[in-house]
Amino acid sequence: MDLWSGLRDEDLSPEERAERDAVFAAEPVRRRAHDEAIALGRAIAALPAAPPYRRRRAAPRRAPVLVLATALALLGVRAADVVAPPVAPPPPLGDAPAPPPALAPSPPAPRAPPPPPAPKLRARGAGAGAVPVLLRAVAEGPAGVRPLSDGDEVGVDEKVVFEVEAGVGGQAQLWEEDVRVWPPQGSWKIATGRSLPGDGGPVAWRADTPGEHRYVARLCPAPGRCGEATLTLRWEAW
Amino acid sequence: MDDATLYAAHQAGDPDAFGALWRRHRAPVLGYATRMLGAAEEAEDLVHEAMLRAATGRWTPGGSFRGWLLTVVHRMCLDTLRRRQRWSLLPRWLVREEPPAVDAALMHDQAQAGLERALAQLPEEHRAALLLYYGQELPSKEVAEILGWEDHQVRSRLSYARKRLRELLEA
Repeated sequence: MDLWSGLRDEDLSPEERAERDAVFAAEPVRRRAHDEAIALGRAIAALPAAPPYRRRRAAPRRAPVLVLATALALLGVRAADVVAPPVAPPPPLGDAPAPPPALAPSPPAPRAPPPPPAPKLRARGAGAGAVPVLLRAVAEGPAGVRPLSDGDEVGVDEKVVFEVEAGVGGQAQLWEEDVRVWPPQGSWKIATGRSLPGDGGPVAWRADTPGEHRYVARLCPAPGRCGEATLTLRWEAW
Repeated sequence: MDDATLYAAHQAGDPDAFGALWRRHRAPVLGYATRMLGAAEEAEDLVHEAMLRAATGRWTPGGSFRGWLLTVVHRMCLDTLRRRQRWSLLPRWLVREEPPAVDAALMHDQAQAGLERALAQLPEEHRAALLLYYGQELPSKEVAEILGWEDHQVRSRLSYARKRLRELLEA
């Protein structure tokens, strides 16, 4: 295969042009092939600048999947059950250590590390400051489904499903801060309570690039009155 | 006024300079992104973001402005296409995906519609090489810079791409 066929003259060195012309003189078939390649190139150049593709939203960019729903169904739980932090049962009374004598000074018991603060539905946002919104997420991967907290790492083989909890109904949006184009459905109407972004089905998500990404959920109960909640996730390198 | 002069004027605060750059380059760059992605609105978002990067001063005059813009857009297109590939591992019925749809009714020339469809079916690197070298009429060395290839790789891939394109057109 020669590497000058179909190329414009200006892209060839003088030596290449000389070689090409010599070949063309000896082999008209190769000249024809070159001419056909140039004609094909001209046809591409003559295409309209803006191709007349049908306009549609680019759904594949953030494709919804039902993997999580399937996983949850297998586990026999609802998404809300998974997302909600589990409530630890009280310790059984029979196993409780005996209390120290009432009057004896007792050394301070070693303190257990405080549990991570449970997410609270807070009123957030500029202006009115009274738009309660919360962003939660779970990771779904080969090992199953696990709730995520702010700053958690997401494995290379995991996807994330977000959930927005609203204390008041309104229009919700969710986006990755450096992308700002998700979900493809745009905003969605949300009632008080928990809601999956978009059109209702679980939408699994992976970031475009590894590293830290911040996700923002915005809830607007009325035009111009909005609140935001954020969640930062660290995506493992792939 | 050339691109570097317009860009310098934009950086100096001329409110019209970047608009002139935008009008000069938007259509061909958008055409490239649209053909690479097969999705008009997605391409518009992408080109808009690339132009915003340019407007905020990320271009260093030296090479061509369009070449720089196409480099940015090409990388963004690859990111988008790779993201789709990750999803393509999922069973097809789980993914709402449509093939690129060329609206033949909007094209006056059926041959052009056929060419659009054939281009859309090429592997992305072949499509990129053809669109940049023939569609944008860029020198092969500039195509090599944009795609991060050697010049001889551009030439060989152009050759394979033309061959495959002809097969698709004749099919």
